[in-house]
Amino acid sequence: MATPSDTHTETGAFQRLHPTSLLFSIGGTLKGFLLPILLLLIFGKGDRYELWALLIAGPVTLYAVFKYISLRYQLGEEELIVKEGIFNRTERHIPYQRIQNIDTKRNIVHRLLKVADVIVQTASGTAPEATLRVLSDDAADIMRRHVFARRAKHATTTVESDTTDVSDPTPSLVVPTTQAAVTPDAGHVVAQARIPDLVLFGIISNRGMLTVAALLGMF
Amino acid sequence: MSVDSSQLGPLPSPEVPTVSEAVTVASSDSAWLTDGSEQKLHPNYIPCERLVGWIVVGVLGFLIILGVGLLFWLNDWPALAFVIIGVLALVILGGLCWLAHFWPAIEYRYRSYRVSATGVQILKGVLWRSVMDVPKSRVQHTDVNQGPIERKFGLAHLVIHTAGTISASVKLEGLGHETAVAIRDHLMESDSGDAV
Repeated sequence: MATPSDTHTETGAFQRLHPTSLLFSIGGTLKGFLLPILLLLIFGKGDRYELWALLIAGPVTLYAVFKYISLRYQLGEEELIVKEGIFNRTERHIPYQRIQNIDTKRNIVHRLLKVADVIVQTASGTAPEATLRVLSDDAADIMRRHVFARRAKHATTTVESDTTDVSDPTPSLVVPTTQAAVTPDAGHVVAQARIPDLVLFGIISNRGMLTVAALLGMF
Repeated sequence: MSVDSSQLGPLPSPEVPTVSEAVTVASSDSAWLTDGSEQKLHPNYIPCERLVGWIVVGVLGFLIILGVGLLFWLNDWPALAFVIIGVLALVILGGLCWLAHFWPAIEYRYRSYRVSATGVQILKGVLWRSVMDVPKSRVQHTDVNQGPIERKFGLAHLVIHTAGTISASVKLEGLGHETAVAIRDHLMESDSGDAV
């Protein structure tokens, strides 16, 4: 596993997303076109429906390739930097202190390919500040560790500078949180669901299906 | 200067620079930028906006002429109606051309910004004036954004995101690219106290 010291050597340069991003980007967009494409396949027999499908898939693929080429990210000393765009270029800087949470999302396809959607959020607005879709599991792990390590480092330096600057510091309040930040993975299980509990929960909570079952029973 | 700074109330920045600001000033050659004095936008903002305006007017003008042409081609109206509608269309087009050509320079006069140790102040508006203050400690993240036309003129715009809900992002347009990056770096320095 990567320790903060050796992540630092790996994180200096700008990096691209995982190559399978193309797959997820195309797949994600085509999901919205699934119904039209199906309709074309069913009712388009005899016509050149392949051309229509190409008409949709072509720009989608082009967009995915452009996005993959243009998006680069860098784990800097103090901030996460994301460069994006070909015609309209954006360079976004997100200070590590401002990052509220880093979500990693993985469905079955992600797990098969050992990648993850990484979503970085600050306290600002509604949309996530950076959606890195997709990173390899290793890259996601390095990123999370790097951010937590930097945050912890910054927090400790802040405490030190506070004790020199401010007359009445409250380090006792700050230090425990920095220790927690250093070891984000350490924790203990509070509660764990057993299989019978899960089954019971499924039965009592799945009201929609119960209605369907009741309707089926009536006829 | 058209904007009288005395009418805009006191600046959020203290006159006496803090220790961290002094360090910043010493370490960078953009001291003039962050001393809290009023800065005008990059002069290229005017030709850039003018070009954008002309492109918009070009598209609109084409549509207006097309619309008027179709109107007369499809209807059999008397010559008087033709003259009235034609003159009206020309007046509207002329107005749009005037706006596209002269408005950027007028707007430029009333646009400025201040960057200080505590944050950024953005002043704008010809008829309706607005002064926006963004404290540095509340900046969540920043974008330096450059469209194709802006790139042609060496411009960029800075988008400052705060934790607000309604105007959670503040846009500062018409900066030189280096200036935008310099302000960004100034805002991203982590010496300010944490907030949010």
